[in-house]
Amino acid sequence: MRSELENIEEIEKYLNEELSSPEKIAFEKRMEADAGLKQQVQLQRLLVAGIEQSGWRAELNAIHARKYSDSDIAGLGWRGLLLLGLLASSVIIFLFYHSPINSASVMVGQDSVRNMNGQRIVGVKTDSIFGSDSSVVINENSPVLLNMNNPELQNSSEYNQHENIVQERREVVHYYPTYREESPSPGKLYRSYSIRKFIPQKEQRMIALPVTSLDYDFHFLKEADRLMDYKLNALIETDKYEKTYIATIQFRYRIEGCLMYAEKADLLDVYTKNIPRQLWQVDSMVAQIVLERAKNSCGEQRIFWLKGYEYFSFLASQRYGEIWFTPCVQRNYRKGQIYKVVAEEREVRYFTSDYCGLSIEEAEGLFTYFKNMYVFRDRFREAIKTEKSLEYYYRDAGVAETVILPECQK
Amino acid sequence: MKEDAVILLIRSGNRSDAFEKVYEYFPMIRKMILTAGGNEDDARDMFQDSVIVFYKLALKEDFILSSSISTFLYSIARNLWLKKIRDYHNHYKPVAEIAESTEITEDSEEEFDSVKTAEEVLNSLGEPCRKLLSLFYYEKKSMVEIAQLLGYSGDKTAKAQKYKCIERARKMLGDKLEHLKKIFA
Repeated sequence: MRSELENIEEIEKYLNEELSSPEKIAFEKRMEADAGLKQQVQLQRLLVAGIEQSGWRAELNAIHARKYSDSDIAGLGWRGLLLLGLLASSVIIFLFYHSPINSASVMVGQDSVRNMNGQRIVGVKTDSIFGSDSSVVINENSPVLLNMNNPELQNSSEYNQHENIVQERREVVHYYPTYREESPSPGKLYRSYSIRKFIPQKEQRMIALPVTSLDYDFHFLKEADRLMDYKLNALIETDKYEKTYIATIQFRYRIEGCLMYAEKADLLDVYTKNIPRQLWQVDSMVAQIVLERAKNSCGEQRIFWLKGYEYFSFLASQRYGEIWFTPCVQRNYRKGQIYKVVAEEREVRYFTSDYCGLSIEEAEGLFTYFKNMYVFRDRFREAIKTEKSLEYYYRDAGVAETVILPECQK
Repeated sequence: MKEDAVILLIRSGNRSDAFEKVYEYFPMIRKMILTAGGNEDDARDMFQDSVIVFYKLALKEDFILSSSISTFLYSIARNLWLKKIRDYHNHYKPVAEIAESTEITEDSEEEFDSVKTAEEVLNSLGEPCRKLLSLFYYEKKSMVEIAQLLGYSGDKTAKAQKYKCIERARKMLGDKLEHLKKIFA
């Protein structure tokens, strides 16, 4: 039987027309008989075409960058660019010195966002998301608000070395909870497990942004092969889930848990079938399912499920609730390019077009909101430079919870 | 005639020069996309997609350009933009009169979409794989050169890595195409 490697090699020769005439005829006959092989040839052909097209696009992008930088398009010329640069710098410097990182007032801005039913929410102060004692950090690649008080996030790679995506980063992005198993005592029917219980935080809101392959690349670069099922990625990008918690950045952490602790994607099913509920409620449901598994298993398997229980309990304790949507937020904002500040007027026009349908006030509010995010991002970058490396350790934020499980009969 | 000159450049392998000349039409396409509710990025994407369609067709010996390049690009860009809007927002209303004629048939449109999907898959592969495949298939480097450039111990390792990347990309592409087929069925 042919190995996969030989198969690929032969397909490659066929596509490059490097097979001799008899070989080509034989190969085509095999293709006729084998639909799988035919599909493989088709896919490989598309891939090679995709690579070529990608190269052409890179060439076109280079021309674009040279000929039509944003400032040129705006018709400003170098003087205009200089003026705008000065203006933007002034704005940034002003915001920098008037926006202490621990002051939530900096975050205040009118969010032009929509709730789950697509209704606009205007005039909501962003400081209500985190409370006044929260610090906020902006992810380099996707300016999503992250709560510094959230130990799960502190432990994730989002906070670490995102200046250099391809460089070393933490091997493990999962949050692994701690637990203690008490020694069994003779005659005792149950064994106690001490599990860290997290203090529930007040209900939080998520900002829903489109999940892009960039997020996955960033988050799962090293673990993609092992963990990330491509079908799952495709599911999340489905329109069906566009305005649900499944399309949120927070949901990525649930995916990790589902991949780790699912039995044939059953946990993911719970999330997809309970979309009308709030995310933390579904987290609790999933935690209970995993706890049931712990009850029904022994040894290493039990420990595994206990970890799962603790993981989802932790997620539930964060009480992620209502989702706000920013339907017109496109990749411009995801790139974290500070120079976009100069394009404010143009972007406001975009948001107020028929395509987005926001009012001028809403569009301006939304823009201010993202502009503030960039300021925070820069503050964070600065912090990395000055402190060399920011270490965020898991903090003891919880108390012990005792879960009684049946004694294993062994 | 300028049209002939551009096609000649393409067929003689001077792709960069051809792209450079064709890029003069970008402001026109940009204006159209912005008027239709797109943004700068959309304008750039639509224009580049149109150029790629044009480039692929121009490479074919039997291709005869029946209009000016600008009209051709305009027509393709508009159709691509309307298709994008249609796919993602079913309620889109055209803002201007839409020409009935189109230079791309449904078959080639499907092919174009598939190749774009392949591009997306390649982008989600991760830098090492993307770089390796690009060096081999686009820059036509040998395995020995690739091994040196990417720091592999030898050409055999690079080759093995290349096959792994292709296999993974093929699986991802297969899944994604199947998934899209289901969505748009």
